[in-house]
Amino acid sequence: MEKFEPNFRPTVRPDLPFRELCDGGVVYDYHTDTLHSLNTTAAYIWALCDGNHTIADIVASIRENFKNFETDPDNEVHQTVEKFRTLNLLSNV
Amino acid sequence: MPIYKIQVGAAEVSLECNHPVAAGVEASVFSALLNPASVPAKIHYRILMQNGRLILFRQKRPTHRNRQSVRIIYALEWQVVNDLIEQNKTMLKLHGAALSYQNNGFIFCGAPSTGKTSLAILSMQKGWQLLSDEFALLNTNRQIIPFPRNLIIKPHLRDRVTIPNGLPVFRLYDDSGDKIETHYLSPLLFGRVNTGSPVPLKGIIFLEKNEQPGFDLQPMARYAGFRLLIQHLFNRNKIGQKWIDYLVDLLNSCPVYSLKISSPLELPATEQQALMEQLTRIHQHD
Repeated sequence: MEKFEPNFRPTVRPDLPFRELCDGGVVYDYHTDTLHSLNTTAAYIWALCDGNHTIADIVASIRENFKNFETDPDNEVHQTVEKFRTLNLLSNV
Repeated sequence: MPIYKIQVGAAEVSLECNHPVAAGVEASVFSALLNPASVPAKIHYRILMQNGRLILFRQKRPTHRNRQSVRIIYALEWQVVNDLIEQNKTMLKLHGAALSYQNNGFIFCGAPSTGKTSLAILSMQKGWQLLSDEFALLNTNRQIIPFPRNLIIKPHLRDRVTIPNGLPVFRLYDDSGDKIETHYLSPLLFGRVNTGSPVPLKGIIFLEKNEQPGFDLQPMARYAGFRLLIQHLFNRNKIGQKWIDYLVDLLNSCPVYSLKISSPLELPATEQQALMEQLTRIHQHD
């Protein structure tokens, strides 16, 4: 897994519509006709990948807002952002 | 010649044919949906006998010729189904059974042979009302539009339901490409059928085959349900922004469940009862 720099500001592609569900969300990529369904944490991280938040901000936000988080938030954020990157959903990598 | 009309949602077709084909039409997959009419609909079918052959016309154009009425009716059925689905342009179409209980509608989606038809039969036997066994149509108000075609009884169900004598056999291809013998049974044989009024959707249940006897009904995350729902759309190629928004609204307003189940009709009576009770409570839990 690639480790992003803590000050890296992931930014999701602006052309991807995100729709929020009550326990997650969905992203539809019209260019590849691919649907991505995101669980609660991934949807939360997606919303913070707006270019204004660093990786460190996102990890801190998860620590603050998700009580009893089952996995290590740092790992979770890196894995999720890495997944966004490999799926070509980010604009700044 | 008598004229029959079939109406599903905003769609309407009519059919004109002579005896003895009329008897076959009345026993076709549309038996619960046929109504006598005096004037043809916008889309009109006729079946005529010419030189010992039956000819099926759609809008005065011949589409099929055959000596066997079973073949002609089979061709008619698929064309009419396509017309009814195509004409309901503004509706979401899902592969799935739809049933209602006390005016609460539920859609049961699942791969072939996961028990949709068996569950429809069981539910009807327990007082539920059939809305559809194959195509679930949803309007933009999140209401299920009834489309109660006949139940297609595949070989694995033949020993579990009583098939009236003399019913024609239809040979269809199953999903693996093998030819199977099926019977079309009127849903009215098993219980009540809704042929007209839309019913509000209160839950979506995804069926999964359980190899162990029994069942397990569990709430499912909406995001996981979204993915499954897309897989069961009738025409996935036409999905656009409008439909994505519609599906999101749908899933945010209606609970989604997974149901792992062995053959519903083979469950012991106590488990069948427990299953139906759990299903009726779904909308109360949301």
